[in-house]
Amino acid sequence: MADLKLDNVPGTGPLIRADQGSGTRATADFMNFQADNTETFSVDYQGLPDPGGNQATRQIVIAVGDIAADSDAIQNFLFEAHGGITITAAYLVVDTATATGAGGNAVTIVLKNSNADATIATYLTGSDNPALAQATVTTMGSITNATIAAGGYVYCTYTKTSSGLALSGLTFIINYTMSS
Amino acid sequence: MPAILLEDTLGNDPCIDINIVNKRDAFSFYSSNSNVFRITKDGCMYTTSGWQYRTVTVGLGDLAADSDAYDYPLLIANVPITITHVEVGTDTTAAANATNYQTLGLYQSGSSTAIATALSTASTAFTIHVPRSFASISSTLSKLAAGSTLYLSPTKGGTGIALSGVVVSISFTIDLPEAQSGTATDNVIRIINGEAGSDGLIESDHLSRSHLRIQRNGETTLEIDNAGIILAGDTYVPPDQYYWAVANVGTIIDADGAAKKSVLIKPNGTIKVVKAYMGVNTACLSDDETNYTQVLIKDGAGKILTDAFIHGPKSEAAFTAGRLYDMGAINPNYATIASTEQLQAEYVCAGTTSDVPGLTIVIIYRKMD
Repeated sequence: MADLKLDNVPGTGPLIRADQGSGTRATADFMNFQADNTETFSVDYQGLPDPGGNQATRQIVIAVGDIAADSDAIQNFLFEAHGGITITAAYLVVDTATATGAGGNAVTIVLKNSNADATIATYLTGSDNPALAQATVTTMGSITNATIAAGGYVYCTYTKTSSGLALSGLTFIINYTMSS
Repeated sequence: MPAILLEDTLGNDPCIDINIVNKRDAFSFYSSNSNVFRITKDGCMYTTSGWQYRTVTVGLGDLAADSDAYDYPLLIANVPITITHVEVGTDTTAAANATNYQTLGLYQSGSSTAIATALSTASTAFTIHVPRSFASISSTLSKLAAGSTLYLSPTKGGTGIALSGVVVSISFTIDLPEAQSGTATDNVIRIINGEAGSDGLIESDHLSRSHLRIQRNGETTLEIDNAGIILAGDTYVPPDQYYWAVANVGTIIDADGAAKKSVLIKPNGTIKVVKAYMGVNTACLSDDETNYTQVLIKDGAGKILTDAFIHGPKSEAAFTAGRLYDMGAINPNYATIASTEQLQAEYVCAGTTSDVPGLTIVIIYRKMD
């Protein structure tokens, strides 16, 4: 049996309505579901759902295309947020294996937050052959300055080492959660 | 204290079980008299928070100064959606020039009228990596019916100006089926400014049973299980449970056959792929029985979810620039992709194939855990 069962109740208004205003209750959750005292699902005072499992995390895929070995002069716009978000992970991948990095040719790829041009993640290609393998999703490492306000955006920069490294079909995969 | 606290009660049915036959919502929450969240009879979550937006980004590559021949597909709707924000950025500054410039028009396949005021470089430059937003987005033309494509149509002014590394960011909302929502105030339960405190207004805490089930005329539309996972019904999926991934994988040439592998998504949890679409930025005929390209959508283990042909054979569809086409049914045996896997496009080039210009692939999926 359900604890609260509402079955074909007459009327047309929302079955359960809650109103919050001022005071400490103003910023408390409307709905908070727990499993053994651990929150698994909530809806906060802004109406923002926070589901369990992997569902709170969104993913954006940004295929920027071919990047020349010397791309120090370019900076790709990647995406703009419409709602506050927090970046949780960033990856990159190429569609064709790169040249070897053994000779010291490399590229440093930096994800940037439009807020103060702060660094979100930095990835330096290595000395392997190839430096980046085909279709191998690679983490960009630890995330900093992860909070993007609504209207803020993410972009990236490239800095070559020695002669640099051409990247074919460069694609970024960025995971984020929502904060507002 | 919560106003409603349901904790460690006995039973296996969902803790809160709601079956709606009338035209009404299950829950409606207000913050300072503003409606910020509802759960509808159809199992959809209305919210004014950022959760309502889906955002996809499409990299178009370099745009030639003479751009008139191109239409770039950006996004396709499998359920009705509304475009809310579109931004464009370039990887190199492009100066304003009133004589030779570029105009970027935003259209949907359902109308020849632009959705928004075009972006032009006639009087406003593109500054490296700084997005420019489409303004005055039409409240009607921004609505894409299921099957409609959003596309970008550039037009040169004078001799045009090349734009380098063009990236388009699109945010949209999913239109919720509201025909069954009611607005009356005859609630069964109404809680106004519950007791002060930080607890949730409505709380459910259990070891194993689901927290909530919504039924529409006896058919389950939504369930929130004990782990907080949002689930669809067995026979109905609320439209707000769909997600999009879009990739312009560039121009596919003959040498890319059995060589190039374009990763489309690497999910953070288990997903189920429900649709795949593809399109090009220049028209392609289906008039060649010998020389054509096959696009395959595979998982990381090489299993084929679906495939489609371009430039032929004759039994296949021709491609209009700026449109996205259904790649056919997804093989249900391989539709579920775990977080340890990835989805990628691979190519088979039969004969000596023509280029596939600006191939864009859209994957629509559901989050399963």
